[in-house]
Amino acid sequence: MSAARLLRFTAVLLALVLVCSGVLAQDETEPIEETPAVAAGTEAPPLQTSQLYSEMEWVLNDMMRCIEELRNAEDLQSKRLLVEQVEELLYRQVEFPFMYQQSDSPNALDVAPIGATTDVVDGREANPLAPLFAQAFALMGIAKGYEGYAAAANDYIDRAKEIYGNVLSMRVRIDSFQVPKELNHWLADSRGRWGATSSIRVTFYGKTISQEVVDGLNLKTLHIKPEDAGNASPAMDYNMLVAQHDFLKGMRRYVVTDDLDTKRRDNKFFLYLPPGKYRLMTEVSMDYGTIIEVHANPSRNHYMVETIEDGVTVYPVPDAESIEESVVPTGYRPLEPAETGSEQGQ
Amino acid sequence: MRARYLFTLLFVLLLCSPTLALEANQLRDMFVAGDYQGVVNLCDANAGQIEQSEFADQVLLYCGQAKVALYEENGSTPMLTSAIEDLEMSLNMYYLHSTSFALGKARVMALDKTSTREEKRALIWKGLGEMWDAINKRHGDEGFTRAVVSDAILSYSLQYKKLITDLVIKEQDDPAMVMWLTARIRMLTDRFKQIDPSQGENETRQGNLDAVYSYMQELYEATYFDRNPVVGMYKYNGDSNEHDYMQDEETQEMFHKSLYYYNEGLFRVRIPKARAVLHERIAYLCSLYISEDKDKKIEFYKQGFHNAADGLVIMDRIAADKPERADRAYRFEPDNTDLIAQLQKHYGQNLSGLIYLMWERQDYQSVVALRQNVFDKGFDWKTKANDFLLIADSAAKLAISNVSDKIMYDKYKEMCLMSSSRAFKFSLAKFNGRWPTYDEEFCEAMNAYSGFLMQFGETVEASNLERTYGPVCQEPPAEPAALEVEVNP
Repeated sequence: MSAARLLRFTAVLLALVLVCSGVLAQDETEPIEETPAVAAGTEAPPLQTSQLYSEMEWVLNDMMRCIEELRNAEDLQSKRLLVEQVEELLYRQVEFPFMYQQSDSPNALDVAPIGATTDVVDGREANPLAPLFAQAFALMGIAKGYEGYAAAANDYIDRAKEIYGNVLSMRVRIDSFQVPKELNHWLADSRGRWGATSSIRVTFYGKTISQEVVDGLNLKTLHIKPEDAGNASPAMDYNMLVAQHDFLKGMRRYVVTDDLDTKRRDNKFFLYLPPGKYRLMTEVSMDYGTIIEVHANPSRNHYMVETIEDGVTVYPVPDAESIEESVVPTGYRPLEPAETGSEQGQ
Repeated sequence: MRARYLFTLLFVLLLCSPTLALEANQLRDMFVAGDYQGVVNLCDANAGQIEQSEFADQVLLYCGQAKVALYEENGSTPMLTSAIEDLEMSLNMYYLHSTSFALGKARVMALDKTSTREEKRALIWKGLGEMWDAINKRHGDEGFTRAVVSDAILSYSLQYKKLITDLVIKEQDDPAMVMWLTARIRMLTDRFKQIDPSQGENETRQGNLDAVYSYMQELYEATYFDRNPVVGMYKYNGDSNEHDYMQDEETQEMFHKSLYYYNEGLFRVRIPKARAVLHERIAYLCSLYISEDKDKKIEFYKQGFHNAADGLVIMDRIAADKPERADRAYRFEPDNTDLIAQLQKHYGQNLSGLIYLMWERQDYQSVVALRQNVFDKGFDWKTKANDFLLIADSAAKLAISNVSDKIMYDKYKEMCLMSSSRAFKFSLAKFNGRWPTYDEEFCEAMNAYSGFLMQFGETVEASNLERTYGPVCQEPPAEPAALEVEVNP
């Protein structure tokens, strides 16, 4: 074939490919939704602050609704489910999209609002969204208060105050959305129902955590039990159930694992238990487990958590008392531009 | 040379032919046409290749939805499991509200296949979460508007509402789950509180918004009914089916469903006022019943009548209760006066229907047996005079048939005259002490009473009656002639 012929052949081929691509483009299946989600891997346009504001208002509404039901709940099981619901709202709607900015799935919608919120982190109180974020944490605190966990409630309130100092003077409608009252009022109301709660904060720090092991943990494979069987009581059973949930939640949501998508997490989480000794058991360590000793002074309750084979082990942080007692998560640190970019596309 | 170009052209066209794109379109068309088995067959035939397709997410969505539809038809568990897998895979590839919604719905459908309470809870939590995410994200796409939301959100919300209200009933043995589901129902209804149907883009949209707004308000109120969301959901489902009953044969199923839900609610209700409300609902529903089958009509009128009577007894007790116990029994409870008025109305409607049907089938004994239910009530209803007259007529007929038995004859004669007299006095009372004017019902009662008096030989009294009120009922007054107004051109 001569060079001219070859050139002509190539030109025809290219033209055909171009025509074909045009045909394909026209023949593409029509989108099912009017406004389809942004495809995975593409950068979503940042949402407007006003829209984020509206979104946060709905999240807060939902949280308030759950707290309203929590106030009226009489049995512990109901309380537990409602507290879990508030926790999930906080995590899925606030912490995950606005702080951790991870992409556990290629679902770009979850990633979309992140680009617009780095200023929330930097601006703190100056940002119009900061009071709403703070309110979300304060509501979580109030929910824990109604559940009977004073220490947990205090911790969440402290986190809320870190974001927006005046958070407790903000008014919310919890009473079936009838009368707006200050968060202070609801905090006092929830405190009134704490009773003689004695749970103390225990902090866990992640170290060498396998995502695979975390994925395998559930209420059937992980148990926390009091070391002294004589402590058994309905209240203690409930404490254990909550601790079990909190441990699983901490491992799944807040600990950095060997999965890159988790690298921006706080890498620490909390449990709240009465002073005493407890045994943490996973499926592979059912017979022996590891011991968690809870002291009345929370500064002594710092543990490392590690995964070994298919199980989990915890051990005290050697210099626990030197750790500054702050519950403000590291997720609030200003983000490095490179860091932001690295996760956007995931 | 030309042949080579042609061959190349055909070859490239073949390479570029958008088979996979067409496949998604094809599946969509088949799915829309309701050919679910065809969609599933195609999905199965291409099982290994779907994931490679550029439109795999959409293909999997149709595969999953078709399998869910087939599961609904034949209840095949492997079909549902496979549907969930397809939808999960689709969602992992590309987020669409519709996929998330369909997946959540499929998960909740799989509930019947689970055994332990924990598994059920986990499934419901996940399924409803995915459906709620779809609604929330769709709402986000629309800028979280408050006054107006799209038809897509309305559709999602109605499906979610149906599912969650059924779940409350299904999971009633798990009080914690019921509490949590109630919170989720209220989360849903909260979103519709600020809807302003008048701001809809056109009349159709305004109508849609208005309908959903009302449904949600009713649902919200129902969650507080009897301070027990389970009973509330029975009532709500009863109300929903009652709305859909169009008083024809085609929608009879709705009537029976509604009655079923109300009766199940009645079986569980604890607060007397709520019980009275359910009695009222049943009485109302029964009064609506229309059928060619008269036995059924009698059966349901009886049921309606007894429910209204029971409701009124409860309301009498509530009224007689000490004032401190007359506080609000539950949120959104109806006003006592309104509830009593409704119960009285349905009492009358059902009783009138019953009396008429018995009279029509010439079961006069049954008609007169109902007389105390008309005589002894200290309230009125629209067709009360007619009921008196039908009782009087039945008693007259029974008297004639017992003419050889003096005791029985006198008994029925007295019954007839008393009943017709009550009809007459009832009609006269409508004039509130004023001298009566021509009124069809009054004249009918007067003529009937006079006729029965004559029939039983009470001629003097009949003559007195005719002399006093006869002129009033001579002829209806002529319509006043319209004034002719002269209009200047």
